[in-house]
Amino acid sequence: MIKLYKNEKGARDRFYDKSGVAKHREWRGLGDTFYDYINWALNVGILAKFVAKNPVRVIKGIIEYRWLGSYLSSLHFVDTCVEGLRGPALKAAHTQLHVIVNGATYYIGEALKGDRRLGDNKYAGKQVLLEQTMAPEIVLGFKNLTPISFETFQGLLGCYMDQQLPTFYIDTIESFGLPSDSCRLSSTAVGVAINDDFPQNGACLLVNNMPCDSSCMNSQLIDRRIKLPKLLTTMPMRWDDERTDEYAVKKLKNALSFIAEHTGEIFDEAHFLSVMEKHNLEVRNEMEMYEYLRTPYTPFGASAGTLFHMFYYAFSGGSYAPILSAQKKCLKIAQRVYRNKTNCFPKTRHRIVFWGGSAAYWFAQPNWMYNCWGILTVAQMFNFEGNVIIPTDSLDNALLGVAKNYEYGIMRRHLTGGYQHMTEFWDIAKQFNCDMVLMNDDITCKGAMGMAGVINDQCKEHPDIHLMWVPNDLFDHRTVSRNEIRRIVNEYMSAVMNEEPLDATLLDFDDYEGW
Amino acid sequence: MKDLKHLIYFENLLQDANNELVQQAVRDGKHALGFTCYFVPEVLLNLPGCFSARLRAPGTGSTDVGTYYMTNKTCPFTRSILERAIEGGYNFLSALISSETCQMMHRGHEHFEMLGLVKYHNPNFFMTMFDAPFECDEDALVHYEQQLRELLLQPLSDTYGIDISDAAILKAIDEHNEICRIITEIGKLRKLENPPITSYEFHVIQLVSECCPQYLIKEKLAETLEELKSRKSDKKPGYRARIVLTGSEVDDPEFTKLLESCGIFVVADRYCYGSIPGREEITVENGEPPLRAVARHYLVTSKCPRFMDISKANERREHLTQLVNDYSADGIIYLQMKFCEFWSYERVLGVHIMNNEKGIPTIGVEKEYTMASAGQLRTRFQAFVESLDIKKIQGGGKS
Repeated sequence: MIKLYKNEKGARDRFYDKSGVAKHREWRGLGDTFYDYINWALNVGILAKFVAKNPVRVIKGIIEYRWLGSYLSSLHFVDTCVEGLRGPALKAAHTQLHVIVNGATYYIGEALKGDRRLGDNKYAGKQVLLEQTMAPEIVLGFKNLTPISFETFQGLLGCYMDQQLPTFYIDTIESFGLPSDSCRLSSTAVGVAINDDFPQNGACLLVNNMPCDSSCMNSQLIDRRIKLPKLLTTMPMRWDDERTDEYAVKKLKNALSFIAEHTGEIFDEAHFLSVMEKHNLEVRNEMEMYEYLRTPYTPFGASAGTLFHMFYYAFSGGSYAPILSAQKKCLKIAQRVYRNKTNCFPKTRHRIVFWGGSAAYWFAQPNWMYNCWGILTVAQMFNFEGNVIIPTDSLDNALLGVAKNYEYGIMRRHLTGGYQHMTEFWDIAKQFNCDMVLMNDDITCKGAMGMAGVINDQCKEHPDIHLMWVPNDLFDHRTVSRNEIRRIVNEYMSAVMNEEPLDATLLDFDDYEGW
Repeated sequence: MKDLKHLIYFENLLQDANNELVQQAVRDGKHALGFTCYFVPEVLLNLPGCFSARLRAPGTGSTDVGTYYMTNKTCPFTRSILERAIEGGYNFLSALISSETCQMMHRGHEHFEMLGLVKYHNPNFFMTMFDAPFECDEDALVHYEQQLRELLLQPLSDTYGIDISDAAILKAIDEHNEICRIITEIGKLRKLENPPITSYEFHVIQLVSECCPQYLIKEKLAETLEELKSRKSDKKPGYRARIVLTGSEVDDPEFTKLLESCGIFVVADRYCYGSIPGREEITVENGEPPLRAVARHYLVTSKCPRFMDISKANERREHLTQLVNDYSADGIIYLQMKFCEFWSYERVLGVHIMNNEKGIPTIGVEKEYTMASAGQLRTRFQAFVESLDIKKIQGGGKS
């Protein structure tokens, strides 16, 4: 039981009760507040540009698609991801988030532009849909084609923006009979399909088995709703064994032929390899950023970095130029911080790694942990997924690299291919100088839960690392609400760590009805 | 009907994974190879010098230890197997052969390695896990065959000196086919309107053929077949509805008994541990390497929902329709082991398609591994049988 705090003043005071609506912007000192405001205005500009570029389709889209309206809260989402940040940390986070807002609006714009439901057009035929968490690399050798990540905007990214969005889709599929213990990522996507809420674009669809069992199965329901030529591009589950490589490459070669056949486009090997070089640059820059993360002198931390990583994995693969320029800018900030030995996160008491699937309906949880308890989240499990350097000496090797990148993909690398991957966090925590690990108990993730006892057993071998289990229901905030997550963290910090909060107004508040 | 001569003997064999025939085979110097999934070809575990034992956890009470390791949010079948393994119930095994076909089962099996299970009793014990494809095309076949060769056969040869030559595989196929012929012939009796066998008896017979060394049980199975051929059925069939049962693991004959108590006769057992698929003969085409034939057989016959290909998914529903027609069934029950991702989606979609598109009365049921929720299940099954009765009275039969 944590003790009661009365009449405290703090960060939560600027919000209306039971919501995420702020009375005013966060005061960070003159310079940082101004910088933050300018970036807010820039993001407003991006949204305005998004509408202005194709107003008819955007308005039709908002009327047609329930999920699109949730992106109106993207400004609020950005605000939550920079809460409590100052100086270089604020600058780095805004740089990363700026690319995400820009990129998300670009790709949603592309999806709407090619949406046959909003008006017949030929552009749809120049798009290739990629299911689940499949990254775009396989399409990038076709100069005239655009990869469209199918499901991400309606699911994962939509849930980040608005915690209320997936519940409708989850209820839809559950009313159809699917048990509520099924993975929310997959069940939400099926709910979207049953509601016919996917845009109707693309010349063809690459179906795949990423990341896990439920996503294999939800494809079978979704397929019934998508009237496009489809190809199964399944990657081996035992990816750690090089004996599975040949099969993985065969699958990708089949995918190349399939795309060419259904779009009439020609695969350009030289172009493909040059894009893969850029993919590698993105990965190398990311690795360099991680080097700074290991030290106390880093501008990276809290939630923005992980989102940036997931975004470039899912959408860029070397093809989205703003990623590289943002990385360069961030690295410059980091070099300056390190040179000057600036502590960008002065409230830090503990450094933590998040492991397992974290609550998508509260992506800014790391910011809250920092502001309330002084726990700096240096990285999440997703940061260590993807990140494969793709050889560019030959097409076969490059395709093997792409296959590995898929196999190392978001939520796949650590949950499949052998138990040793799921327990890598002990080493990672040490490499990043963390004294805590937050184990996300995603209550529908069977691959992770199947390791719970072994992870607990391993605790005694790591007395220097505190392991905190925190449940969540991935997309469904009604099962384990944000406030319930806060309560569990609060209890751990006060009962186990014997600590006082930095800001007592953040301990317990109701934002159940907020975005 | 007159009791089957060997029924009590068979029932006793199912009381324990380490039953008297398993013990006898181990005493004979044979290596016991455990498995749970259809993706692990049973026939390859019956090469000369070893025998297959499809793992069950009969008499499971608490799964506290399994739940500690895997939480209460994972498949209860897997947890029960793990619990039994930790208790020492599978210490007779020489190896556990597994595949990463479903997240929970593969996690459960990984615990054999992580916790060093069985090793104390058999230092040579190993767990091997291979990759199983999601499709059924030529690439998948080559991949599957290669995985079987390198991750199933080779370790058996390296560790226990098992003969994995083509000749040995052919011999295993011949012996496997003999068992298949017996079980299939017994199973076909269920097509009769007044069959000389109950669905419970068939379930017991099928399970002993999977859980006991085949070379030791074959004779009694053949004897039972002969007995059934001349067995007189009761004057009137003792069921109200003929049902095709499909779904995930059903390895407890008591469950079939529960269905029978509700007036259901299970005409076709199309579930994991059932005979459809499972007891089809393996054919080796001219010039085809026997391992290729085995791989092809298991890929083609498997009806696992894990196969994502839409044509394979449609084929599953067509297959069920075929079973309904062949066995004159009144309806279908989809069973899903609690927390099973594969069968949860398959059940939802299957119930919808079979009812609304195929016009076959179908229900979907979630179940625990043990019979803990038998009361609730009984109510569901009774209601289903009543609805089928009403349809018959109204002259429908099929909706």
